[in-house]
Amino acid sequence: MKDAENDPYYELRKKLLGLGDSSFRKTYYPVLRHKQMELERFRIILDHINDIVFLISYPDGIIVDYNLRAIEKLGLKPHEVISREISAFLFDDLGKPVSLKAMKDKGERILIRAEIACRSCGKMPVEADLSFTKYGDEIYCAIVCRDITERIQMERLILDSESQYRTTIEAITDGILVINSSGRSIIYNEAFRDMYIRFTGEEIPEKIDVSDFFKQTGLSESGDIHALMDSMDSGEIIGKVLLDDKMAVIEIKKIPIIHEFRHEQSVLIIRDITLNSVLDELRKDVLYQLNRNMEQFAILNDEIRNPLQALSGTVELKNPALAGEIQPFINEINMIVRRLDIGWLESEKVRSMIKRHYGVSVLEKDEIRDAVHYIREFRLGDENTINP
Amino acid sequence: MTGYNRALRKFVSPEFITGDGAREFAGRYSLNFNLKKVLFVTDPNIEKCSWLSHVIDSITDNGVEYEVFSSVTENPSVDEVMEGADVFSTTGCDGIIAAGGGSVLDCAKGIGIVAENGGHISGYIGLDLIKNPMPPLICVPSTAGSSADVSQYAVISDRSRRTKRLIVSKSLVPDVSLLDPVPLSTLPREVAVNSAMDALIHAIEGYCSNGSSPVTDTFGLNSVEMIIRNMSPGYWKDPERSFGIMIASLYAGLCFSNAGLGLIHSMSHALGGLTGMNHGYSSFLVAREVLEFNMDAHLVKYRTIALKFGIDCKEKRYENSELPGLINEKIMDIFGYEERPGLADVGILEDDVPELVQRTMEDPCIATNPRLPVAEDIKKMYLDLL
Ligand SMILES: [Fe+2]
Repeated sequence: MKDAENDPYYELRKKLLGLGDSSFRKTYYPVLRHKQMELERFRIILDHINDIVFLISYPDGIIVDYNLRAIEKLGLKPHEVISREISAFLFDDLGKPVSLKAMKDKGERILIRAEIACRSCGKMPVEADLSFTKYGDEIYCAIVCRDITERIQMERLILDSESQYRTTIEAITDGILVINSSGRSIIYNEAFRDMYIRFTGEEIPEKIDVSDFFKQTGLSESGDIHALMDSMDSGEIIGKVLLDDKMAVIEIKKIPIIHEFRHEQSVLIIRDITLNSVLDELRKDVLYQLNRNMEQFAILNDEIRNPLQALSGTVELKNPALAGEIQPFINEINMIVRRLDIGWLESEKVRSMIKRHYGVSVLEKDEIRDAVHYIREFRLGDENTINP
Repeated sequence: MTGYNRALRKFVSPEFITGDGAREFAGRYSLNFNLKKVLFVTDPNIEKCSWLSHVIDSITDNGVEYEVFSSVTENPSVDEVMEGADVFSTTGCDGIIAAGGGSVLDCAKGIGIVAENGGHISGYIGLDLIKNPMPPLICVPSTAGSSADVSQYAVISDRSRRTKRLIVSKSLVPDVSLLDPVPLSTLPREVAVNSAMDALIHAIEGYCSNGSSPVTDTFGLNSVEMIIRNMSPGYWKDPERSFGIMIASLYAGLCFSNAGLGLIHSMSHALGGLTGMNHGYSSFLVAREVLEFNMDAHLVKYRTIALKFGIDCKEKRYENSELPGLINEKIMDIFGYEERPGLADVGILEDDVPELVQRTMEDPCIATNPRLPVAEDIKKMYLDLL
């Protein structure tokens, strides 16, 4: 044959005659070898994942294959696993051997909480993923078990923490209501539940629409509540709830929960301040009365001081000897009056503080009676101390 | 020949069983290959033959399931291959049994290629493009001629482009061929004669190929001799003769599959693609002109062939130029052809010649023709043949 340079068909002919690079007789070996290597590589992955894998023949439940992690975690030797029934190793959450048939009746793929018999740790809690599949004429069940010991511990910790948090929330005497962005309740505490029943006269539903609650209580008649609920900021308002001849005063504090710049939830702290409000009003009355008395007292001081000075001057002129005798008494009276003056000056500060803090009344005079009725009815304090 | 051809050569052959009832081994081989379900590829005519039931019984007797794919036509198309490959994969087959003529076997090879390698069959047209070996292929040839059951070739037609293209790969050599003469007896006359013609052309081209070897020469020359001895216009009705032609076809297949073919096949593929005519017959139509063109390139071999035809080259020395005509006459005689029509008679126009020339030049068989032609040589031959 001519060489490649002079022969345009050299390469073509080489291939035709079976002398090309990939011209060889049909043989499955290279492909099988390649596939075998792929399978071996996959086997390595299977052996080294942290999950326990079993291949079970169905319906007899015999273990036909498993991964290395299975015998490692179970602390068994290969012959102790292979050809044994899976029911000897896998138990449901009630401790009964897992029945493949019962599992298959539920579906082709199921996820269950189970336990695996483990030589070192007794029983290992697992999440078992069972999937049934047909290969050739046989049905197999592939079981992948994930050790969930840590997850269960975490769940317990979360449950404990949840329980603590719940107890704390329940212990708070203020009503706590957490709502989502559309005003639906997520959680609330017992105090809120009492408040709900008290204000609406109805049993609390599982999910509350907070705007319905505000409507039912009449709180939504005030524009303040809308402004508070529409706002993205924290804030608080005071509102009144009228129940026949009774009136409750409540303080609603809103704390928005912002997540990734989005207002997702809000915490509403609803405090019944009826008793405080009534007491404030009463205290204000007392202080007002005291103020009046002190003003009278200041006038009285001047009225004492002036005649006393006149008395002292007259005696000194008419009877200097007697003046020397009574002067200590006059001085003593003067001292008392001066002390009263100083006391007056100091009380001035108190009075301006009273003006500042009690300048705005939560309750009108005519509402105090209703508020007291409310307090009496719902025993929010010592009723005997309140008598408007 | 002054000595043996010592150039590098290879010889690949499938496992084969010859003899009456060989077809009944189909089931046992399926089992030996551990096949669960085979695609049974055949054509609508074969499906009606009673001999097929023995093949099917042997499959079922061995507990192997099968799915029939019988929509194969003469000159199988890429669409038939793709349809068969789809049936193969959707019905979960893992091996192929092909029972039929060259078209069925070629289609089965195409199905096997796509089933294992994916993609479209047109992506594998050419040489050595098969990456993964196809699923086990068991052949029960019903004709003695194509030798697709032992060869590394598959011819697939693209009807929309009116082309016949070759897929060549050593991995296309089937796993098993069950050479049973019984199916031959049911052949229509034309199919029987034209496939024997194909076998003869395989033997001549393989023997004279520039890729031949001492091993292929033995098969090629023996094949020519056996065809001459056994061929008669009604050979397939005679069990002795049909078995002889079947073995001759096997020899021819072993010869050309390893030595390559030549210009007759390149031209025959071009003509077959354009007209859809029978492959053996189109090869016969162009053979004489190609022999004339090749004669000087391998005089000793062509004279040896002439000698086998009884053209006594020793007593009466014919001129070399006379031999192709004499060989052609002998062929017509033993095959019972009364005439050799011109290409114009089979619908070829002068306008078709440039297209035929281009297709012939692109056909890989040309690479092993003993004399490498240029386009002008081929054009002249087509014009002479009109
Ligand atoms: Fe051929």
